Amino acid sequence: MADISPTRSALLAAKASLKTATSGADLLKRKRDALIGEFFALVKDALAAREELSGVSKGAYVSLFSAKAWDSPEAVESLSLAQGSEYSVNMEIESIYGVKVPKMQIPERSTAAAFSPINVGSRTIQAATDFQTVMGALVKVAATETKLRRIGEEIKKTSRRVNALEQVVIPGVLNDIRFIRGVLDQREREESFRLKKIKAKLEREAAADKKAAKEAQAAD
Amino acid sequence: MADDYGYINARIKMMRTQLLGERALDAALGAQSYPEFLRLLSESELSGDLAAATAQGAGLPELDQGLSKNFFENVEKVYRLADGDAKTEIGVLLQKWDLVNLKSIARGLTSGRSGEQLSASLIPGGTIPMTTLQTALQGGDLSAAATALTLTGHPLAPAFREGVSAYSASNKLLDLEVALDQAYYRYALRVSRNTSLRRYLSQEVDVTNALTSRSLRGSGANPALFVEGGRNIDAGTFARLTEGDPSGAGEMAPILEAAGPAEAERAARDVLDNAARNAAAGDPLGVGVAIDYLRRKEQEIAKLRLIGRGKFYNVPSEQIRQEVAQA
Repeated sequence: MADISPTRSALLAAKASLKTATSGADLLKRKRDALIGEFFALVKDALAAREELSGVSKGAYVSLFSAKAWDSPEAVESLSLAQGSEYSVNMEIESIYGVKVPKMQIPERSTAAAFSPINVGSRTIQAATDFQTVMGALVKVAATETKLRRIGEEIKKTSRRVNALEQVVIPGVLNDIRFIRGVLDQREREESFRLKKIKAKLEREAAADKKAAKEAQAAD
Repeated sequence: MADDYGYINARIKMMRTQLLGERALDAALGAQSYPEFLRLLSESELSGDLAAATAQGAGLPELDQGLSKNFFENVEKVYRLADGDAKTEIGVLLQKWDLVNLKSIARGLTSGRSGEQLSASLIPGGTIPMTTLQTALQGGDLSAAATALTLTGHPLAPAFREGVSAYSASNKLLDLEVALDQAYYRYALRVSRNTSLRRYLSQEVDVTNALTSRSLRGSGANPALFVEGGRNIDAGTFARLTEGDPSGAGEMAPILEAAGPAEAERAARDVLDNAARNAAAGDPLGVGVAIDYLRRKEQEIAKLRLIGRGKFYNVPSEQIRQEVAQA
């Protein structure tokens, strides 16, 4: 309180701050509610993506299990060299209520394997195809879960801001207003008391002057 | 040692007695856990190669390495027994791993893998010495690898060089790989003349064409993937099979009519197992016995890999039994 100058202009400024903080908290609450809605809509997508990944992975690992056994691990690993070690995806940044989230898309790829199918077991070819599907599902999971995490973090941040405004900033400004009002009221009361005292004194002096004038007139 | 199949086959027949029989495989299948499976293997002829697999903290990679070591040592042993034409004929069977190694080099060099990573992926089998493969890798590009291979005079070296030219023109690794595959079969069929090897290879070519046409269904025919030399499937039949019409495939019909890839592979294995057995029975004084032994050894190792994986991941025994019984 020591930093606040209890003046009328400070009171007006505090009132303006209170208005801003209240409307800010209100806006942030609305943003948080919208993000929560978006979050729950995405949870559904994320669960579906996880389920899809789990399904295709199971099939792919079963194919790989047999491929490595029948075609030998060496031959299968050799085939894996045919596929480049890089996997490119198209990524854009989109904004959801001000939150920057990635939007990933898998470019069209040829489903044909990069290697010659001559002398390669059907299970191995199946495993190669299955793992291409797994990669697609993995990118989908990565995209939805990153989006989910970013939105979750933003909800947390927004909630913290709302709490800070509601629990700290607004009560603080209200206290300031109360303090300034108290000081201004006190000053007003003191002023009024002082004026009353001056008035009484002036009246007393006027009465004394009047009396002295009357006595002087009587003496003449 | 000479081009003497009498001697070679006698030695191979001795080696055949060391293969795990049905009873041993049944015992491995019946193992209650992965450690018990390893214990059973350590009591078999394979024990010498499985020391790393039974060590503390060892897993499937060590088992795979041990089984591969055993397999390639036995293959090498058969190859060392032969000389002259017999060595050339048995060498044809080993060149399948040369193909894998050459393709690994091509794949690794085109996808920018490190020399160390590529060295680790080379198979210690086949007829190309490991030092030659390492030299081919050291060049760091396909042209240098082709030059290093040409110097060895290996039958697949010209095909590798042609494949590298095809790759340079089209930038498609598939062209290089297909050039190698086609060259392998051309060479193998030329070498095999009228032997049981020729009959076996004809069956193998048919199986390969049948499996390739299956895998191409729905994605359009590619005549470059047809391998010549089969008895049942010619280029016209291959094109028809690729379009989904399984008629005219003769003995290969079960592969083409199979419900899924697993069933198709089962049918393919059956055809090749029969072909190998027929080669041994029909050519007891020729390369047939070696064909049959190598096929049996390959299947034995494949079954052990399958059982090992099943036990490691606690797959129900019945499910593994079904998969193993497919062969």
